[in-house]
Amino acid sequence: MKRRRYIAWIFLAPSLILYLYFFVYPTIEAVRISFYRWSGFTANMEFIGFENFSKLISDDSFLAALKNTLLLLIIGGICIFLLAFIFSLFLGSGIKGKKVYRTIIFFPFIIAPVVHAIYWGLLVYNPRTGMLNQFFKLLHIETLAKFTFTDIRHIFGSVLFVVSWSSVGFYLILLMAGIERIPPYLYEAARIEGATELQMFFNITLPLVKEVLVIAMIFWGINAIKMFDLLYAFGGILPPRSLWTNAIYLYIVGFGKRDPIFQLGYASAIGVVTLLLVVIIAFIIRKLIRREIYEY
Amino acid sequence: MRVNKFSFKKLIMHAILVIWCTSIGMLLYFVITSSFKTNKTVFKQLWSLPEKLNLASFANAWSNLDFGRYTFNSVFVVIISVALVIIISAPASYALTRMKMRFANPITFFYLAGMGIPVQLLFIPLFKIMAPLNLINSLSGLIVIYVTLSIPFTVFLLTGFFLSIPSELEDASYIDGCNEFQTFFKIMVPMATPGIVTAAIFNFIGLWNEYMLALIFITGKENKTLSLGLYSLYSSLQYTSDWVSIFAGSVLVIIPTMIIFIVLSEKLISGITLGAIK
Amino acid sequence: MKKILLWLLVLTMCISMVASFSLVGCKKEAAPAEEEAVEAAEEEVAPTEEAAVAEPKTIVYWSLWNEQEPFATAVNKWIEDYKKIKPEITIEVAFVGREVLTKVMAARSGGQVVDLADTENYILKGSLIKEGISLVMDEALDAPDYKGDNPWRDSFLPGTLEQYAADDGKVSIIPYNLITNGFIYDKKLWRDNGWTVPETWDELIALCETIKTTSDIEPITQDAGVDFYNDMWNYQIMEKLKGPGALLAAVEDKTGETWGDPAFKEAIEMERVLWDKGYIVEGAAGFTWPAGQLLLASGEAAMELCGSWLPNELKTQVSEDFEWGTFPFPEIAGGVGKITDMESYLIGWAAFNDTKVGPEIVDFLKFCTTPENQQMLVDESWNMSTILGTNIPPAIQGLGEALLDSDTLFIPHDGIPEKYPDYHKNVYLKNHNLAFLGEITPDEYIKLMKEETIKFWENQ
Repeated sequence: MKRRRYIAWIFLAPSLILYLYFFVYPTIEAVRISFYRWSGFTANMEFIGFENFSKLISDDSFLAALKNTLLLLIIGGICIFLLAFIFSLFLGSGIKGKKVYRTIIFFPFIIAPVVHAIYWGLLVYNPRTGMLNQFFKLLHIETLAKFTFTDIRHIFGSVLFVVSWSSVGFYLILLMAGIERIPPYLYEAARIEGATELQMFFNITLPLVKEVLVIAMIFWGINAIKMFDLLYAFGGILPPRSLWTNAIYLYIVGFGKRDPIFQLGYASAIGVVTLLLVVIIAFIIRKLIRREIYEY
Repeated sequence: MRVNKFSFKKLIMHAILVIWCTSIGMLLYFVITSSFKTNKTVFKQLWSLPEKLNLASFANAWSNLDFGRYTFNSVFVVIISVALVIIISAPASYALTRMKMRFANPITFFYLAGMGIPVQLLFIPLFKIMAPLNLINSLSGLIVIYVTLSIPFTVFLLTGFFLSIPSELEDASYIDGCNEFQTFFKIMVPMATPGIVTAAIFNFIGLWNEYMLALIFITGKENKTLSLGLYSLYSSLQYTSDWVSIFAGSVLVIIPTMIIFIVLSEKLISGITLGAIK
Repeated sequence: MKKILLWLLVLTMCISMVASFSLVGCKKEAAPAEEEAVEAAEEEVAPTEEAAVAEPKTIVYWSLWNEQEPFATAVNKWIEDYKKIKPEITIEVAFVGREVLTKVMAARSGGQVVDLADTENYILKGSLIKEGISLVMDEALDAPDYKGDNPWRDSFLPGTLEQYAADDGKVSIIPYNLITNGFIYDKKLWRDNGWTVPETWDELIALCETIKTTSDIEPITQDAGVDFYNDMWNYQIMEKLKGPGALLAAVEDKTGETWGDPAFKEAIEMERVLWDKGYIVEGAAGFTWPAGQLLLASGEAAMELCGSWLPNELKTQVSEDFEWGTFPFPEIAGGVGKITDMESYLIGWAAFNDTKVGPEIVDFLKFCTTPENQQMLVDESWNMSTILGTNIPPAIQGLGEALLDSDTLFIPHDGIPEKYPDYHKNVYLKNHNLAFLGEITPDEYIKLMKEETIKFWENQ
């Protein structure tokens, strides 16, 4: 029977309709807003062309936020994927309790950001009573015992650690899903030929896991750039400047919890730039890890 | 050559894993024990066990703070949203990957680009669209938004899974005389089950903890979701000073996600390995 | 099998969507067309001076309070009581939380009716007043209050109405909650140690030295992770040095030269003394909220400079014999400001000028601002009320008395947030935080402020 080409459109229709009307159309509106100056409260919108975008370039706060976003993306990504790979190797090597470990490692991912903020802020990183400082005090390492993990200079790194720590489980599951699809006979054959663990990793595991890796990395890329909840919760009353990323800065400029800045046009411009960033990153990731599908 | 079961390597691996899991266990311990304490003691002895199990915070969260109703709302909204997004995204992903559409690549990219849009930008335009449809302050409206916002990621995930299904199965099915719908439902969906389960789990987790959109689009107390309830508990700390309810509330919020994850992750992994064996 | 399950799922979905769509009809926001709904026809119309047949009206009121907060309890009580008096008026209140204006913004652009909102005055000023969409209340204020004796205007603490008036002097915000700023401490702890309340900066420093050298208690605790908490030191010091308006003048000077006034640098140097001499608890720079204030509650620190909401925020963490004490910011030798100058940080209501229920809103607000109703709020929330005739909550007796006796009220952060929110967040708070925490020297601070003020005005 000949395949009717138009059936594909029927399959596509429901999602396309919803997507176009409730997503694409508002997005176009949002992009349109970025060419205006608007407070959101009245109908007066002042057309200013590309002025919002040129303001972005000279805005120190935006540039700092952009830098934080990229740091989060790259360093966070490296930490997470490194750990995820290591753990997937551990768990894949046939040790006992794999499922238990996997579930526990995944657990922080589903905890509300508010809880993370309280736990890490008060119990772990607090200079007086926090676990880390007490630990270093026990070891008599004076400099580290007095180290302020969540001060203006270090809080970003500390929160980056929290982000990695809580996200590893999720990417671990994705990677394991990919790794477990590799037929064991490939490994056996390699072992017979005398390959080491490391060689097997680089020559068998890594290439065959590329699909899942691309999915995982793009997912991380998007989440890192859009990350909001955990960073927003970490300051308690409001997110400290050191934690500002694109997403947080957008919110502060557009809506702001305590600051009536209300510059929706500018916020939309930040959003447009963020979107471009995501598209570029996704593009780069796909190019770097050329997609090859192995059928076996 | 007999392999010694008690290898040193395995010991190291276990050690590292145990240390890592202990750090997670401490968080769990803190949240659970704090939810059983009273407000007076919760910050006094951060690490010690509660003197007696104070269930008042849970009871308070459930009834006074309406967490019972919020849970129902959240369950309703999230489960339906997840189901709907899969029902409409799976055919779309299939069409884009296996039905040799003319504009498959641009359309796929069109969907995926949606993943990059920060949701806050859409508050106002969405409100303008939803208001005339009476979708404001209704759970249905929230479902519509949740489903739409989850489409890009779900399509992204599912296209990956559909691509990796061997095409011989498909060809065989067409040769057997099945039409497109039968092929899809009888062959492709079962084969893509791991992908569908993955998408379901990830969407569930993402939507369960979502509160920003709920805050903007839900007004009435009766329509609030659980995550929104938890968030408003946190932001009312200034005048209620009620920390234990937050901990109790967080525990209540985690339970369904944990259950779903534990129950479904088995299916996920087993489905995948089953698919690999032909 | 799968197919059947799938169809079953789809069927359930459709049924539930239909069900919830029909539920939507009942829960719709009352658009003006919906006011025809018959309101409390069975109840007898309460005796008022108005016509016997009262038209049912609805006020849509979105509040910054959360459901659990004591304010929400009070508001609900007011609404309940008001309904008994005026059954034809329905007040649809929604306790949105602090993001109320974001939601209002979205709703109004979607054409939804919101009549009344309350939030912090400076936010209202920076949004509704600035855009000119607020309902002007001057006429209503000149009219009699709820009891009908005096003009409504006279119920308010003098100065509070004018504080957030628009540039042309018109008042749109009805303030009801009054927060002030000062030092919070434990009277019992101080009594036991023989410490006395300082009235000048030098006394404060001497006291800190005494506390530090003769006890294990930290003199001052600070949630240094919150930039606007840190700024409390700066604008209080500046107010005492040069009076209110000094910071604002520096911000508004497009040449940036005003920052060169030695007082600004002196303020930073004074703040740094607190750090350098160890009066602020060590490690405070690394505190995440609420770590700092918990030290006050636990008795490990002697005092904290904060808003007068602090006792309520810590009330569940303090021990049985903790006695709340407060004192105002001390005078600085050679400065212009007096110890009686007090901060007035207001929370209030504003209505939108396109509302159809203006007179009804005014009447409701008059009802809520009677001393009896406000006293209820004061008792629940431990915040003061702007309405004369209410008590001072015992916990903040010291500050409350100072406020009532004061002849100069100033606004927090010298009014910069509502006028120049962008500057406030990205220039002023940014640089002050760096200077306060010692990341930049006082000289660098002044230099940065000059440069960035110029840059800010160039970009406008």
